[in-house]
Amino acid sequence: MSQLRRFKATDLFSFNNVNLDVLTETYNISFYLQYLARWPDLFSVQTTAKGNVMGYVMGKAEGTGKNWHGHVTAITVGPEYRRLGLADGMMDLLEEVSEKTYNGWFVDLYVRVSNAVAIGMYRKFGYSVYRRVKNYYAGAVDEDAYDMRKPLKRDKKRETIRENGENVMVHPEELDSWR
Amino acid sequence: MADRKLRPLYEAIDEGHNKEALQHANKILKKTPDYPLVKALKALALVRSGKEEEATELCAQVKASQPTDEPTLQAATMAYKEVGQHDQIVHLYEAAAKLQPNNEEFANHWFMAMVRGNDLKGQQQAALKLHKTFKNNKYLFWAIMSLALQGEAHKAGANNLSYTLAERMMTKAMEEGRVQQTEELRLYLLILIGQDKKKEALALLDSEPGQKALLDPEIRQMYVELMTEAREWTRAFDTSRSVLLENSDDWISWTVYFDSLFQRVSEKPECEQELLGEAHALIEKLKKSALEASILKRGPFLAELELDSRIMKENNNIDLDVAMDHIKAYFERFGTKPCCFEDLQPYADTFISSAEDGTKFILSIRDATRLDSEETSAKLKNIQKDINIYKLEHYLKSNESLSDEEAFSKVEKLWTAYTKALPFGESLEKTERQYGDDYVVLACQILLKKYREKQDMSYILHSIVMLETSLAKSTYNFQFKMFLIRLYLIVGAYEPAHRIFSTLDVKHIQYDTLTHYLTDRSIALGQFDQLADTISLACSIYKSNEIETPEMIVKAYQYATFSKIQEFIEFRARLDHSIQHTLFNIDLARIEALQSSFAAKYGVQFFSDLDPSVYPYEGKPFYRVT
Repeated sequence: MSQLRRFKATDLFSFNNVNLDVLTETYNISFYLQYLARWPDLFSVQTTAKGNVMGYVMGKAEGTGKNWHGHVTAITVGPEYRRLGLADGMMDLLEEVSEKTYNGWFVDLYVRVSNAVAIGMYRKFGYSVYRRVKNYYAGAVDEDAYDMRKPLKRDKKRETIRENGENVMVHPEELDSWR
Repeated sequence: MADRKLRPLYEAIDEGHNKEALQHANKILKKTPDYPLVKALKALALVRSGKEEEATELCAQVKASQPTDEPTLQAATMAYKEVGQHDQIVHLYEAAAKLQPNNEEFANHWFMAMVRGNDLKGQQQAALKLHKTFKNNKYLFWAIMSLALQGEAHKAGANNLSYTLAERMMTKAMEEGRVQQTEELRLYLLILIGQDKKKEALALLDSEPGQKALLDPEIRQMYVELMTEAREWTRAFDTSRSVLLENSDDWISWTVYFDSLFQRVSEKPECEQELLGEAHALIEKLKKSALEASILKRGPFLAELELDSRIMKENNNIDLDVAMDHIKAYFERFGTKPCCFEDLQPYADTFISSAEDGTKFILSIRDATRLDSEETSAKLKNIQKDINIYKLEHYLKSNESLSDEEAFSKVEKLWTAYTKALPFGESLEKTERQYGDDYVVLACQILLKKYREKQDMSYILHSIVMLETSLAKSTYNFQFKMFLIRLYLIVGAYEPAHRIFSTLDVKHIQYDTLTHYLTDRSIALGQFDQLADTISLACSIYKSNEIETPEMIVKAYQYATFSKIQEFIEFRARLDHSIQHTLFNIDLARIEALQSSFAAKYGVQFFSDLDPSVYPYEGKPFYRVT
């Protein structure tokens, strides 16, 4: 049970029970507001009946030609609201908007190759690894990312995905290219 | 003059060598004294060296020269921004736009300068001018948006001409087929809703362009909400029902469904049983399909409790035993979820009125939970269930005062349960919490309450030991950390409170919303330098708001995202008027007062120099920060 609606700028004042989680990053004002100004329909929040923030998803639409797609920038659920199926509700909405409003070819996201729980969850949602990005996450020890994709209706021939993407290694600077 | 001569000046400014920049500027100005660009750059270097007055004087000279070249305008804009005279930027571009009426960019800058300064009337005029000259629909909508904002600002007054005019312009734009995008329709909607014209707003969504916009999930939500607000209950009922058949977890639709259900009941009391029967049937049907799905959704099960509670509030005509059975069944099914306690809270409030009922309820759910199961996964689930029972008990008996023995025996029990749960979490990731962490939070709540009754510090020390021990096992549990910060401040230990606070990695917007955990109780603890550093850092969010948020409002206009503009303005105002900011300023002033009062005359001097407008106790609306 939840209320799924668009994220509002003023939700930033009350998202701490989610953002205090160590794996959820807090960004500056411009970062959130820029997404809201440009892709207001790709930034949604789930709240309890009382209005407490349970989790949120932020995304954008980008690319050219057959690379035009929806992108999941961040998705997060507060510790006490996990394993309730909230993430799939938010992903469904983002995919629906990417398909119907933006007419994209696919939706994609990046995930740490070590994050087995998340990778498993995205597979369940219909995502598959398209390629592996070398040292995408900078840190004390750099880590690779999987670029995972799910084709939308527009991609009738399922051209935007491939098998064994785990073995296709690219460097971050090549990311804008299509295939 | 050649660019070559300007390059060193630009470079010095870019690299922050202000002194050098001033030398370069003076050299050029010696040869060509009336060079506006160089004057503007010099102003920038001056303001960055702290010479605001001289900078302002130079800016005024630049402005008087009415520049129309981009570099000069840009440099002067930056200088004005940094001296904080945003209104002067408006004049700068207004003059440029007047001199070159066909320069679209200048007119855009002029408009945006007023957006930054929140000059709604000016904005409207600039947008109309833009629309007249460049015939772009976007400018028309900018003008309408500016009018709508004026309407909203003067909402209290009767006869709201701005809204009337905005609506008229919007109707015309609609007739002329200019309304194409969903966001433009949203603009129309916000004008209608702002005037409380719910029926008209609903009619707009019923029209052809409105129906097209229903592709957008949020418009669909607004559609149903408008149906209830326009009191079209049958439509609201039918629409929410069909949404629920698709997604029984959607609580917004359940709320609309029940609102409209009971409206229909009050309109036709003779049909009450039939209508309620229908609702029960829907819940049963959705429960059944929920049970067949791969992830068990709570929606229909919670709706069952909500229906009971609404009937109870409506006419009290409900079998309490049946309602309690529903609650117990819900607990049986979802007690393994951490959010179960939060789910049940409102229904416990409705149906459990006496202490005896509370005890009976707790006993019965505790009996039904078999904690002695052998299988590990069942044991894990039972830990969460057990925690939820304790939480419900704690909540239902929050008025009860425990004796010392009772309190300690309970704390002992909770701590034992916590240590017993630890072995199950050995394979958990470092970033995860141990399964029994909430036992510790509950135990410390009990001790904190005892402390409040008896003012005996040993309760607090006991809690600190438990929390620190548990924090070592769940390194990132922020509830532990926040609890510890409070407790350390109670015992007067600033150092460890500060240490733990710094591991929370509070930043950006959280400076406003979370810093108070550490700072609001710290002034008496004597760590003035550290406290002042923390507060000064936190205050950077207000500067960011001044600089970043206006730019984002500008972006919302540029992308024509009309649905977000009011929201951004509200966001900006909330931070601008943050009560936390005032509290920070007061604490900083107290620290400074103390530090400058080593001799009485300096203390007196400090207070006579104090600018009271920085500490607005009244006049402005305050926003509570929680």
